[in-house]
Amino acid sequence: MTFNVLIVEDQDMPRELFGIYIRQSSDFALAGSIPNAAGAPEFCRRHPVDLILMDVITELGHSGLDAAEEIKRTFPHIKIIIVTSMPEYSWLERARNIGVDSFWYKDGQQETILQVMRRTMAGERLYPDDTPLIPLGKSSNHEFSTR
Amino acid sequence: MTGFALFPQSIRLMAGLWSFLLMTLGLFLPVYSLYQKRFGFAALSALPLVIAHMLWQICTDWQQLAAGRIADCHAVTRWAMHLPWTVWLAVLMLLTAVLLFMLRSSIRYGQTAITPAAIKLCADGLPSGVCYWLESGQVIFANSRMNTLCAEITHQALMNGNTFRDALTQDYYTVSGRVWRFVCREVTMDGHPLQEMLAQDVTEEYAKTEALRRDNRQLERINRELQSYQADITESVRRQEILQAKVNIHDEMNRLMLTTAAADVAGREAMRDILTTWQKNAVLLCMEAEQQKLEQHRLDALARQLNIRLTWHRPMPAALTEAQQALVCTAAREAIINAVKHAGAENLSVAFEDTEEGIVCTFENDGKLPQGPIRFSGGLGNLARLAQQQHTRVTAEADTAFRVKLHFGTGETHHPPKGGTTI
Repeated sequence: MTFNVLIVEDQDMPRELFGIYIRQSSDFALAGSIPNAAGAPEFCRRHPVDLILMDVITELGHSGLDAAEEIKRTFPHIKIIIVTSMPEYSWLERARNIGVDSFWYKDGQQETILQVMRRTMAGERLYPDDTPLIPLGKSSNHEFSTR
Repeated sequence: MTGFALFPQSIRLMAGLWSFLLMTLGLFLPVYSLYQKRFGFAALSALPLVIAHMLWQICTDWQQLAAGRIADCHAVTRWAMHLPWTVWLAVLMLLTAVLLFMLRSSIRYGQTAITPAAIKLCADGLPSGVCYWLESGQVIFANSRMNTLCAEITHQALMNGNTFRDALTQDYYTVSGRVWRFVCREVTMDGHPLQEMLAQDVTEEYAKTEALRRDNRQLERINRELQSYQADITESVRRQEILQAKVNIHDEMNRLMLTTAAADVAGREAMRDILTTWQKNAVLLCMEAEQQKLEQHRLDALARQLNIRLTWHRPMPAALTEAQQALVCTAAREAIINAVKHAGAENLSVAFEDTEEGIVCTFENDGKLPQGPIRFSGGLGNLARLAQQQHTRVTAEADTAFRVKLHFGTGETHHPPKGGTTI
């Protein structure tokens, strides 16, 4: 069975790279690739989509989390993987509250993203334990508490 | 001859002295009452004085009475000479009781009543300045604090309230190291309009307010720095993503080279797949060089995906810089999504027009018009802010159709056309 994947990513190169990974896989097909999260719900209304790779901050500040919330409300069967490199802690919590299926910090490895996609479609919910470690001077972001 | 004359001289002298003391007390009470501004009580206390004076007069006529020269006595003496001595005694004692009672009343009044002098005394002890004046400016009450403040600030005595008020041009004044705040208002007392001025010592509050202002300025500076830092972080992360993607592509190409070198030439199917992969990676690496062509292609693809017909009335003008062309593409994507999401449009056209002020790019869709005023919020607001950074003005119109225009080459603010909004 082939799953239709929508990529929502404002950066051209990562978007194209994900597209290549998907086209080269046997169990996923590229349904579409758009740079703006605001267009994702409309795309889902017009095309069959099984899985969305959703960036958090897209073009012109449109939020992938807002789009994911709307899509989960309207199309609960569509699985969503939030894909980001930003170590913002609040996004993890909000993604869980919205019902996003998986959360992945980009490392660009083909095997990793495809594994995450397959395990998500199999019903797993993959979330990192914490944000990526970012050294800040003599401390790191993990040493800061929530506001 | 009355029995009063039969009394011994000592008795008569004592009666005379008693009468004199009563008269003195009777004289003191009205005067004291007038001082206390108790005019009614002063008038009332005059009656015991009259009686005491009559008694004193009788006592001074005792020699004439004793000598039988009644005609030389005063009329009061002649009238009262036949009264028995018990009556005289009773009158003296009653008058004494009345005068003592009135004296006690006056003293208690002085201790318990709030007199204007008491008010002035208390007001002078207040830590704040108080002043009342009539509409003409005549000062009717001012405590010593206000007088001092007026002298320190205006170098004049507090003679006219309006003049003093007009001389206060600031909110706060520093006098002798203390900070004062003056508050004026109109009040009504007994139906008469008065002007009231209060001076409050706000030295501590002023110091705290100034410290708070300093802290706020510092916080604003830190906030700006943090915003700039956050923008830098976002940009750094984006660049890192791109770099990581390029690294992966290079790794992929390395594997491809090894695979190509090891591939069996006779295996055309395998070679075809390898070449296809080479092509894709080459396209990725050449993306930045072919950005414009790819952008146009992506726009068309996005429009197709969202079932909207995108029409370019004219190719992208070569006069636009790369940044301006990228802005056009960004605006086109936003226009496509908004046309589908909000207007339900089927067609979106992009037109370029050369005007005296510069090139104008117009996005127009055939969907339904927005109800109410056009708000530059969300994506449209961010587009406008992005355009401002490139000295480009964004306008929106909704008369016969919904149009978003990018005015390149203009940085001035213009009044929006009818039915339109400018940001």
